[in-house]
Amino acid sequence: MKTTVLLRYCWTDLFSESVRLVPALQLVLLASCATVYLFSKGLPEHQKYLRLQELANNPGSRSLHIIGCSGLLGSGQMLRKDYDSLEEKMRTDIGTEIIERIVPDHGQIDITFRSGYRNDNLKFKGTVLDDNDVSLIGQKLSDGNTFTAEMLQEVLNKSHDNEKLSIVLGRRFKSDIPEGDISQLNGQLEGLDYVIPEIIPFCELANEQMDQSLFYVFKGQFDKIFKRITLESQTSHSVNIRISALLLESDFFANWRSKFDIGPPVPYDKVGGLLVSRLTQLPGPGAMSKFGWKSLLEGARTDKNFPKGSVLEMEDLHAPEAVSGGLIYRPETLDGMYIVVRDIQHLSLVKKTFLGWLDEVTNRLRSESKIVDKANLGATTAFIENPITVRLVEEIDRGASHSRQLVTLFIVSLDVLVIISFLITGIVRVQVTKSVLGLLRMMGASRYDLIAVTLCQNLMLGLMGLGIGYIIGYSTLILYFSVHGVPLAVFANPYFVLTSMLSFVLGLLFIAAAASGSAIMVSFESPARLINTH
Amino acid sequence: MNLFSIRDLCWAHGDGPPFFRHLSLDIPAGSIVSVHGDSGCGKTTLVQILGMLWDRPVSPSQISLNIGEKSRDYASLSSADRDAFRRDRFGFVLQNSYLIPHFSCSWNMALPRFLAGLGFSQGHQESRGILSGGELLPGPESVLLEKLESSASKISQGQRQRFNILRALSNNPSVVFADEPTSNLDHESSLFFFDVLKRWQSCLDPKGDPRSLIVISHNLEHAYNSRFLDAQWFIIMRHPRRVRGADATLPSHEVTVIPRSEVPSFEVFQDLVRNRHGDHR
Repeated sequence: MKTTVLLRYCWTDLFSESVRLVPALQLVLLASCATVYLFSKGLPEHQKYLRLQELANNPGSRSLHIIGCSGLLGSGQMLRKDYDSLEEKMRTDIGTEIIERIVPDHGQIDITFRSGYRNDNLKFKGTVLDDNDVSLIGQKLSDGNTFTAEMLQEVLNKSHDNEKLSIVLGRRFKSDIPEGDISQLNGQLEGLDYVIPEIIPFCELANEQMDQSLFYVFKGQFDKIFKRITLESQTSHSVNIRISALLLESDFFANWRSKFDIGPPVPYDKVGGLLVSRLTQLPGPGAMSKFGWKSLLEGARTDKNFPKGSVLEMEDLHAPEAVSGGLIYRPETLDGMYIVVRDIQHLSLVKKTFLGWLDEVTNRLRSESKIVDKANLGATTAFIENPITVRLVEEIDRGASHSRQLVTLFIVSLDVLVIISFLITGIVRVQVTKSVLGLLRMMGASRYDLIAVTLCQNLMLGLMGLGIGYIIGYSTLILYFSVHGVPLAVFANPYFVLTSMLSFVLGLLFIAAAASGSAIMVSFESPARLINTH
Repeated sequence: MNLFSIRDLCWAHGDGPPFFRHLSLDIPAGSIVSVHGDSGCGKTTLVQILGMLWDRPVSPSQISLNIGEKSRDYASLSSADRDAFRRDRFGFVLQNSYLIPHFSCSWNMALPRFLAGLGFSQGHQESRGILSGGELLPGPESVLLEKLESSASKISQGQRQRFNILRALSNNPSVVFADEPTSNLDHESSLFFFDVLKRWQSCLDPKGDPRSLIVISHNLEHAYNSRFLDAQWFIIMRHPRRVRGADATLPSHEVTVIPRSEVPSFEVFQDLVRNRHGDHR
């Protein structure tokens, strides 16, 4: 009965007036944290990420309006209204079959094509400006003339009416726009549906920088990406491109190799984590003449001339020796190599290389009547050379990093507010609690009863505080995500889950430690001293 | 027979200087004793020491308690023994009338019984039974009965004090220590509850031992007047400030225990307490 009474006390104490401070305090603290965060960290960057993520997760439902997109997939054909060429390009470059083409009079083109690797249809929508604009931009771009900020502004002015305007600047803008104009443009681009954030680096990218940019995309933490693939929407273009990059080095790839008996699996951990992280540009004639393709790659494979992990620069993937020698159709010869891409357009060749290999595997499997999931195989390469997608992936990676920071900050804030509210409430309540404990001891409760009741009371309070804190915190986050259109699948992110769990455990440990400390301290007090605190 | 025998008690709050130094007195058993003295002179501390509310041990033979069949030396009591005494033998009426705020009055009243192992429903029945009149109360206490299921935080200070008194008596203790038990009560209520306390004291406890009531009071009339407490013994303590600082070998307090027979009138009693009278020991 004594235990029941003490437990009853702990339970009813949870609803005492002073404890009601907990949620109020937490709300205030959370609001403060959120305000400080939003002011210090900046909301727009995160919004951008969230929009990107939405775009990535719903590729079929979003329109991608491309303006002045020289260097992008099919942009030239679109500008020239050369839809036959566009269709051909899409068919050959990304393996899609256009099943519907709508070219309204007002200059907008909607192309629905059947994916080469999926059963559903994807929509590709481009905005073709009116004749004058097309003429202007097409001429300027195709002639390699300077494309000025004024020109872009003119385009923008005409494009603001689009319901979902996306702007991606092509590479050829890179050095044509003066820096001041770019800054000005940056400001003007704000508020559009989606804007590649940093025009300057994107535009100013020299080849090396572009490589680094791509390198970033492809190196981006493959293991994490690979894990994410199963979690994120697999209908996403960007996810597909992750797969394509990942397949080159992941266990997944290795397992396929093993499964289809096409060479020894690549042990992911033995190649230093980053396997084929950079796609290729072939070595120049000098290197070729010196080593020859076969010896070059064999040397690399056997560690004689090119130890694993060394960088193999390939300057021209078109090299007939490479193709005719069949070496690049044997990707296993590239095991352990770092292969460098110098130009984004070479990605298509890489794609062909590996697609060829995959096709080979597919054909073999087909001939052997094994299960063939062509769709999955094809998914590895589609869109790989689409700089929009590449850029999106890069942005999403960056956004994900930003999001991780947000999550970390959010979780830390949660813990801090839980701990602060726990401490403040504890301080407020200590007088009341002590005198009650003194009362209980006065009536015969033992020192050990006091330890138990204090421990129980504080643990209950802590758990309640933790619970309320997390409910408030996560409700706020869900609300925030809802307002900004972020799918709640974000919560399935392993980083988020792990961080939350770790934080919860740490919070519990802190509360347990604080509760134990209080219990021990109280147990040393005489009943009279406890009563006298009232 | 003496309920408490205090001999040469030296005791200090924490690590401070001795609060009681060489204190000696006897408190007779089976009687109503009122304790008087200036504020801060140590009345409450003395009662708390006797009530085993201080964990600081006293030296052997300094305090002995004669209750039941044998005498017990406070120094020899374990923590569990002290807990058991507080739970089974002692009752306390606190000066601040403290109840557990988020328990009902009924729960608060029955708390000592619950801690002694009584079931919830039985505890509620007993609380209701006490307030309905019977051994303790001459008749039903309708006001308290109405408040029985109210939260303790929602009743007045006076009602808390009433429940405080009844809580102290609810466990059938042998000794009740009451610190200003009626300080928040009006005249009539004070009369009523002193009567309750006297009725309780006049009976033997469940083990057949005489009951003792030790009351701290600043209200001399309440202590002396036969309509109120009608104390049989008076303990008068002199303020330590007026004694302390002298020779450390001398007692810190001047404590006088006077039987009622030696206090012929209320005026004499007043003089005694105000130290205008001679030595009546």
